[in-house]
Amino acid sequence: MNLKSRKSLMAKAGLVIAILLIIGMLLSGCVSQGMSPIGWSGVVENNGTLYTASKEGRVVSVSIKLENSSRSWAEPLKAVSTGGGCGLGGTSSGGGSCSGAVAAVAIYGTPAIANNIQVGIDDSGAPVMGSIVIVAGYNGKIQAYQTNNLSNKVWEYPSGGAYISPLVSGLTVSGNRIYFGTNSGLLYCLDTLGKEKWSAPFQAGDQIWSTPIVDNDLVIFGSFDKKVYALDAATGAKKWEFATGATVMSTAIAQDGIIYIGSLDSTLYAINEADGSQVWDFKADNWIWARPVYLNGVVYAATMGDKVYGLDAKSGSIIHEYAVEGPVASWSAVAGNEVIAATTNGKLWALNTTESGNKQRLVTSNFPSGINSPLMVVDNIIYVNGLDSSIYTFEVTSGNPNKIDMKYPVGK
Amino acid sequence: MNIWDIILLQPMINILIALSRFLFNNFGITIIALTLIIRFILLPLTLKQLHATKKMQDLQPKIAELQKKYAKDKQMLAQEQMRLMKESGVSASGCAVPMLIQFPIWIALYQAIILALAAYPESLLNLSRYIYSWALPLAVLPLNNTFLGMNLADPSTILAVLVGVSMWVQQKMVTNSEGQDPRVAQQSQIMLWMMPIMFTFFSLSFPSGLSLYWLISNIFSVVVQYYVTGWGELSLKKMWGGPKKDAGKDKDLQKRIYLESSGKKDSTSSNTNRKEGLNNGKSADIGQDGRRSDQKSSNPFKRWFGGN
Repeated sequence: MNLKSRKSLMAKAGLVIAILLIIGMLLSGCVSQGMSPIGWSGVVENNGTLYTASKEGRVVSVSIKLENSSRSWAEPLKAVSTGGGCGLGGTSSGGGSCSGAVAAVAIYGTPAIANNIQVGIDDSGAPVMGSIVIVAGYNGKIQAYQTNNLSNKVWEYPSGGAYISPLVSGLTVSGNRIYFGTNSGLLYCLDTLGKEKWSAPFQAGDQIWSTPIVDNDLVIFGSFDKKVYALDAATGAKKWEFATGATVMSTAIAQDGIIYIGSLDSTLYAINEADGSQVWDFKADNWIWARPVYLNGVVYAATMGDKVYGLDAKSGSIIHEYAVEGPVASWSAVAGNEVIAATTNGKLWALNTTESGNKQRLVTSNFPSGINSPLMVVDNIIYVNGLDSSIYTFEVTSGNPNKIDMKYPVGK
Repeated sequence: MNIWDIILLQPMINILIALSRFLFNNFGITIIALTLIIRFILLPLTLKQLHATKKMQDLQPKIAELQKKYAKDKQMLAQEQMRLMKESGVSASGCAVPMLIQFPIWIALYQAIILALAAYPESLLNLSRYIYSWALPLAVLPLNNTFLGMNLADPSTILAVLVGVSMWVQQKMVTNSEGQDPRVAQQSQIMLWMMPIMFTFFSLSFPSGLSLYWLISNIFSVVVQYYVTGWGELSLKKMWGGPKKDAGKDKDLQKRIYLESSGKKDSTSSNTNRKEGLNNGKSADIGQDGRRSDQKSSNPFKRWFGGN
């Protein structure tokens, strides 16, 4: 083969390889949406400080006044990858990356706060008391940090190199106990020092994404096995279970002895907390993914079908119906007489629960991404964790926005 | 949602979900079933494309001869190539058009599987916007991803290897090195190895539900390819260098093509060759394995879908 034809062959071979690489990029590009866990942690407030999880897999904190100088970062959670290749899929706890960079661990549950616990020992050997912020990672690890010093990791569960299955469920702190569910369907109870409190975690029939709630010494949560469970908070023994028509990933609320919880069978259920019997049910237009919210005798249930229903808490009959122009997955919040609801297409609504005035108003339609994370309202300000590792705030009445970047500073 | 989602992706996802309901809520079986259904629906196009490709491959020796003959006259070469293709009933679009029609459907199926697998919480959230209201009652979501002990949302090394091997087999059957320009043959060799390696690599990275789709699709392609061209380069004789019974035929064929195209008479051609040779320009009737189309036509598969 002469030089010319060899060059031509090389060029063609290069072309073939380039085409194959383009196919590869297209394939990975085609599925990029929903192929990487990102997380949808909400914001929690404790003593004038906000805590949330960034897209980088860190717990971050900032003063409620959003001062740059008050920002603080914990170490990033460590990704565990059992998949091969680029980590585009598989069981990698972080996002896909072909660059060799460590993928960030997704954090779905809102960090939880436990106050007045031992966070260390002083020079004389006396215990140092303080508060911890606890976070559940998609890597299957619970980590607790000292609230006023995020660089101090107080404990982790399980310790060392051990991991449990991925965690989507949020954490609930009640007294000196922490409750959370796992993707393997286990519901754990730890104390605030990170030690298991039940003889064994409770095994549900399938994954638990629902954040457990504690009311009247019962731990209540839903599972992918289509059931709602109530366990004895002290021992983990099952008190009752309630069957729905589909996966339950919604988190429950408890009010006056009744549990309200949604299901992917598009139904909101009201369940008697004492014995697990059904009080009423309401068939909505689409999945109920988000946690309902209670205000003045009315339960507000948002659906993935662009609607929010206001239902009489005692009978389940419709009192209000709002069209919010987008599916609702995030937990709504209450601000005065308004219910604040956010859609996965980036609209933030204030829904009037009274009979006077406009039925609903848009707080913003310009949120830079979809809103999946739970909303928090403190002092008439709505706090939203954005997908860009920023905390966004909106003044409820005026809609005035503010934002603070919570990305870990390069070179810090 | 954009046009692509509305026309292709959304229906595909809803069919997957509905089908899953009737196939024991098992997503593995659903992937296999839908892949086969779609491949069967597209079979006439696939066959058209394969026949066109095969004809084009069979013409390669003749085209090579023409290239030699008219190396210095590009215009004449182009004319002769056109004439040859016309006489043989071959057109470049015959290969490309069926492929172009099928490609979006394959991509949509691929995307639908990825979305329906809902490997991550965001995927499940994202999936909700694709489900029709009529499909909601059918939607037992997330789907049961366990298949033969594998979680289809996780990569599987076994399936990745099977994808690579099946793709190599398919590529090997498609490849036709005989009578080819060495440069084209080199490119074919690159494709033969690069495609399986790349798809094995993808399979190690993507959820194994996608690997299952690729595997079933490859197996289907191998079966169809076998019925159209036989084992091709994969035949044991060609693989292990046994006596090449067909090689003589090919040489004779090339020689006759040359003589036909140059208007000379073939003093050495036998009657047998005449029977098997150019028949109204339909030289492609003789496959890689030396079988004639009339010999193959006893195959019911070809009778149903049309052979050469």
